[in-house]
Amino acid sequence: MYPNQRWGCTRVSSKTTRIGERFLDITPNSAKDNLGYVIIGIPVALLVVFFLIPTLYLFATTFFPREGSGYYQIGFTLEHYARLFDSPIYGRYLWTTLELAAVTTVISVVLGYPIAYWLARVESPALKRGLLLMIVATMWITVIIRAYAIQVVLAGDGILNSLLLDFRLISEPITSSTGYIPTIVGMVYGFLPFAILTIYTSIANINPKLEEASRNLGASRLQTIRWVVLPLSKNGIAGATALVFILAIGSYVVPMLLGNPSEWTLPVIITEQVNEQMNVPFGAVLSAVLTALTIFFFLIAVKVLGLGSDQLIGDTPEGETDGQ
Amino acid sequence: MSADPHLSLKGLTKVYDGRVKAVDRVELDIQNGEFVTLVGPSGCGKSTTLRMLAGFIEPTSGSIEMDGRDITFLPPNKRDIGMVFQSIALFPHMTVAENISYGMKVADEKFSQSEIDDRVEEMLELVEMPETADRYPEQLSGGQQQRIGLARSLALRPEILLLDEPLSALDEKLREQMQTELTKIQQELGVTTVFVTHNQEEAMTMSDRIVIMNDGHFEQIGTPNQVYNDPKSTFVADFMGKSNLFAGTVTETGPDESVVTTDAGEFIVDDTSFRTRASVQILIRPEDLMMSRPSDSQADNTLTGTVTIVHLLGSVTRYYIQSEQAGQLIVEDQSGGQLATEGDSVQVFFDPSECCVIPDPEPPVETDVSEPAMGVYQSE
Repeated sequence: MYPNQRWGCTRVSSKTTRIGERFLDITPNSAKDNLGYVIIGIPVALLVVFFLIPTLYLFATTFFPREGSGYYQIGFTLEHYARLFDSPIYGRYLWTTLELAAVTTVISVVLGYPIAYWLARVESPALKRGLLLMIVATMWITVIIRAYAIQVVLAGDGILNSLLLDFRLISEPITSSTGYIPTIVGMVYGFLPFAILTIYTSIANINPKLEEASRNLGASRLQTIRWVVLPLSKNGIAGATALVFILAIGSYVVPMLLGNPSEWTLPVIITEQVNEQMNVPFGAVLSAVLTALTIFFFLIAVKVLGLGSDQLIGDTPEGETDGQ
Repeated sequence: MSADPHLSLKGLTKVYDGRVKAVDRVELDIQNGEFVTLVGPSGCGKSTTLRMLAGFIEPTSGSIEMDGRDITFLPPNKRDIGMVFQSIALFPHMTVAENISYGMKVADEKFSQSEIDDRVEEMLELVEMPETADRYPEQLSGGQQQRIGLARSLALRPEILLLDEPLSALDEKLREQMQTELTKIQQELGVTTVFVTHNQEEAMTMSDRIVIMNDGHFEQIGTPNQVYNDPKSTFVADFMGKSNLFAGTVTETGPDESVVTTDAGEFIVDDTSFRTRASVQILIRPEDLMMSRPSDSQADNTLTGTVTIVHLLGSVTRYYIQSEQAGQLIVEDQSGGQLATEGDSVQVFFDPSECCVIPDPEPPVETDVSEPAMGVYQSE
């Protein structure tokens, strides 16, 4: 009934063509056309003015020579790029950024999957709404407050360590208010909802009767998830992975507030270069690297997911509801 | 039917939210190889009953036994019961062969690849779809998908086969074809089958026995012939086909015949099992009601009326007749010709042996017994 990964592309795109042709037939109306241009024109204009031009300017800035006063002037130099490749420390920061993002992504997707599955299969609509609200609600609190809250919980004399010490489960504090673990906790806390919601959508599209069919054919719950649910939600998993990873590369507040300097990511260093070192062109170079990195992983995601073809929607909805 | 039942439902009950009785103390013994159909309007509890058999719903009370073994709370994957779903529910990411062999793949028992291949081939031949092993479900038509669904459910050679409205997604012609094939395959394999449908025709053509469900309980269990010609309640009579019903009271009983007095007059019936003053309904199926031109001689069990609508249905012609005494009547004639046209005055009559007397479910409050029953049981 529905296009599946293998055969969907041709079928859907042929349908698209047909709709397109029909569209051409009925809209030689110029008033309608103009309205369409206006509706598309406003966001395009906004993007050009506030995104495309600044981005190009940022890229240009990477070649501007720095002035003695700390600012820069129009000109051309490659010294900032030379500094990037000369000093091994920036490679370290780049690696830290990617590592934190990768660890965050794996934990978010692994933790998020069972929650998303449960959420998709909760029968009571009221409970489902409540749970979804709770997941979204974590995003209502600003990330700075969340970061400080995590500090309070994880500090050496914080709630977690006190409790564990009181129950004699540990003999000395196992976490501190800043460091690798608090940074990962903070980032997972921030990106888990994105992972859950992305995977949830894809699992909710799987006909629950498929799981019943699997159980009926002798599969245990785990076998059913392994052979039916996981393969059918792989687009959701891939989407969540790409989304969380791309978002995590750009993490700034959490590594700055919860990390020690060894957890500082590129965005933190960029801020430091611009605000503290007054080196705007070098900040621009690091920004360009970060942007290039994001684009690179985005393109990988596009390739893996087949985004841009017809699969943007997520997983194929399978089977009709049977009116029960 | 002296053999021990293959599947037994004992006082099976499902209560939702502590109040709503979806299924209420139903009892049923199914023999080995029997084809039993649960039929009823939507919301009658037939699907809930089937899902309890499959293990997807836990009963509130009562038990299910297979060959005398209690399976009431066994998880669905431990039951050895195959199921075909209304939504077909083939795994879209697997080929036809992978779908059919899924049960063998997840089974504790290990099957060799050649065993799996043989079984897949055997199942595809059974459903007459060879050469489709490497296709994906969405490359098949609805009817073909349902055949693969059937093949998949039978691949593990289950003790019992459950069919949850498997044909309702198919169009009329395909459905009839699938009915015959399903029956053929079921008889070939001799697998005990429980079929759920809301379509009474499907139930009639396919089943050994029919269970008519209404409001969570079993109204009647019987062969297609029994439930059609000898319904035990007006609900069954109505559900299993078109009917002409006359409410009345038994006013005379004799050794061979009784007299029932209704709004439409007195009728002679051959059922003598009711005592005098019993409230009853007389059922006459449209094909048992005969029609002729009006004549002056008033025979027994005769009504007069005017033809309002004539439906030519091919092998059958159906006449809707407005009768002064009895309201709307339906007559079906299979002789092929057209006996009357709209507006004709006609006389309809039936043989005492062709009607069925059903006890009235809600006898009216006892009033003065000498009062004739006429007018009290005004049919709506």
